[in-house]
Amino acid sequence: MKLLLKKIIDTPGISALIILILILLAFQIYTGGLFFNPYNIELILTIWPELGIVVIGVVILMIAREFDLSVGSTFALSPMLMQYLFAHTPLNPWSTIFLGLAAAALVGLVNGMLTIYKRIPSFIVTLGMLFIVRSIVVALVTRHDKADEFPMDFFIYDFGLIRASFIWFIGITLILGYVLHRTNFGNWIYATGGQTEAAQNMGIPVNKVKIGCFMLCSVLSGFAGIIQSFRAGGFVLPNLGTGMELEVIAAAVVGGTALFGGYGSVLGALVGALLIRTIDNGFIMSRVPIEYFRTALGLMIIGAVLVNTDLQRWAQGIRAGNNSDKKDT
Amino acid sequence: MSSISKNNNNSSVIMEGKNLNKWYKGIHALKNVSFELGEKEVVGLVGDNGAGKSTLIKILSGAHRQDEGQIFFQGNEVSLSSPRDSMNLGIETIYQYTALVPQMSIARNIFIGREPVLFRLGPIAYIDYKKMGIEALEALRNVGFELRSPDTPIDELSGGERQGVTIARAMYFKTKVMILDEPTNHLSIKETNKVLGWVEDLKHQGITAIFITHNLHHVYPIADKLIVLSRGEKIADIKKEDTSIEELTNLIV
Repeated sequence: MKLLLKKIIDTPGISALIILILILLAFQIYTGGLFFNPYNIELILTIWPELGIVVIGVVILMIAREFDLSVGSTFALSPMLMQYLFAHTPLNPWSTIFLGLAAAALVGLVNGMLTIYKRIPSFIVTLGMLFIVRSIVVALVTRHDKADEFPMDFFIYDFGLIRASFIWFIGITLILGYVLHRTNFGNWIYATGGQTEAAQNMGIPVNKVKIGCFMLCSVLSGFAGIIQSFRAGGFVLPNLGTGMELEVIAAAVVGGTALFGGYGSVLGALVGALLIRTIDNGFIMSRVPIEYFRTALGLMIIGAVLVNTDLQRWAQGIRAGNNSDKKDT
Repeated sequence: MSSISKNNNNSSVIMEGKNLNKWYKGIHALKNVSFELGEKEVVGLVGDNGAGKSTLIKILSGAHRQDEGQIFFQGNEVSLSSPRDSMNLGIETIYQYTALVPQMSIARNIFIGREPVLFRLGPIAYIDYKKMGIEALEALRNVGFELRSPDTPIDELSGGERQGVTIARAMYFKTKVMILDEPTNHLSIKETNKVLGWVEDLKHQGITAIFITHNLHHVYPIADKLIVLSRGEKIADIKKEDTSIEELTNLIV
């Protein structure tokens, strides 16, 4: 029984899930049952994928022991470039979507190359990229009145409780969940982030793995940005995604991802993203005074991580006991 | 500094280095080192810090390339430009601190980079988990290491148990030459003896082992041959029966 419990808590993301459920219950009680009304659930299911898709990319990159602070800018780059190309070239909407994502991939490639081959910490490289890409976004600001020519339904069609974006989110989650946890490439990502030299000694192409993760992270950010821009009716404001880099790191960490690589899960990314989004939403519903909103948010993030580490330490305690019986055999 | 070299007319040579030289930024780290490794031999590679032990093993494991000299494996000259090249030939290196990924399970560690595949989609392969778990336990059992679960993360194991996992891994993949970098460092006496036992067993399994250490007393009892390096040079290459701990200690110091 205890071992089963340990195994559950040891799975990255599970303790975050427990915390999430507790917080949701608290909101439900505190708002007198208002929190779980259909409108609010619908809202959460709409905004969750837009953050969650980015967080999955960031979590995978963090497992490979790298950061990306430029996700918020890339989030705006893809839809902005898409709109720009659509307004100023004869390209069709699908091609502009593709090129928007390709630009995101290029950002990831540059992030990765500079980090790996120039040995600049990714924290610095992507901080620089945050500004560079943001200024490109501002330079590309476009206005046109043909936004409805985009195949928006394909990305955000409103089914009632959920939107198409939620289905995309589930698809991406399943695919990347399998890749990360069940394929050789996923194994290499964990090995690269957990102990780069060991991975290298075992013949794993660690540089390619890391660059791949950088590119994946950027493309997912761009894709989520396109979804959000469509939900806003196809318009892209130059400040789209500003501040997102910190939100996603908060979500990743709350979801149990280690800051120093080698530990984390797609489940944790989902839960972390949902936590960050519901905390926002729950505070508004609970009428926390606006002055203290961010205080409460900050406390909640630190608290979630604290409980998370405590739970894990406790699970490790079970493990230590276990080990000592085993030693004599 | 005296130098001794007594020819060993060993049966068959599995690996050979000829006149190996390596410079790092102007420092001559390895000076014209030649050696032969016999089949099923335990070779102790000893020397003080900076003697060139790690330079030599990095070259043999494919992590670095020699600047001059040749390497022969089973009679053929080979070019080792990556760890993968060495592994494909059957040369497996177990580094002191960086042999395993601590956060990952035993099974995943045994199969890093050589995962059993269920099916493949382009470059991405779906791991055969069931097989991986069963084979991992089997590999561990072969070195007399009984574990309940192949899913235990490495960081829950003791230092000696970790060496057991790396040795199990090398044996599972039919290694011919195993290079062990300070495998007994920081281990308790009990665990050191266990690891020494494993290394001795390698010989019976037909594996050649290079045992790198600065502690002569660990390798001497199990070694067939000892190679002593000092400041990048080979100063001794001698069968155990032709020497003694005292003689070797005087050489190293």
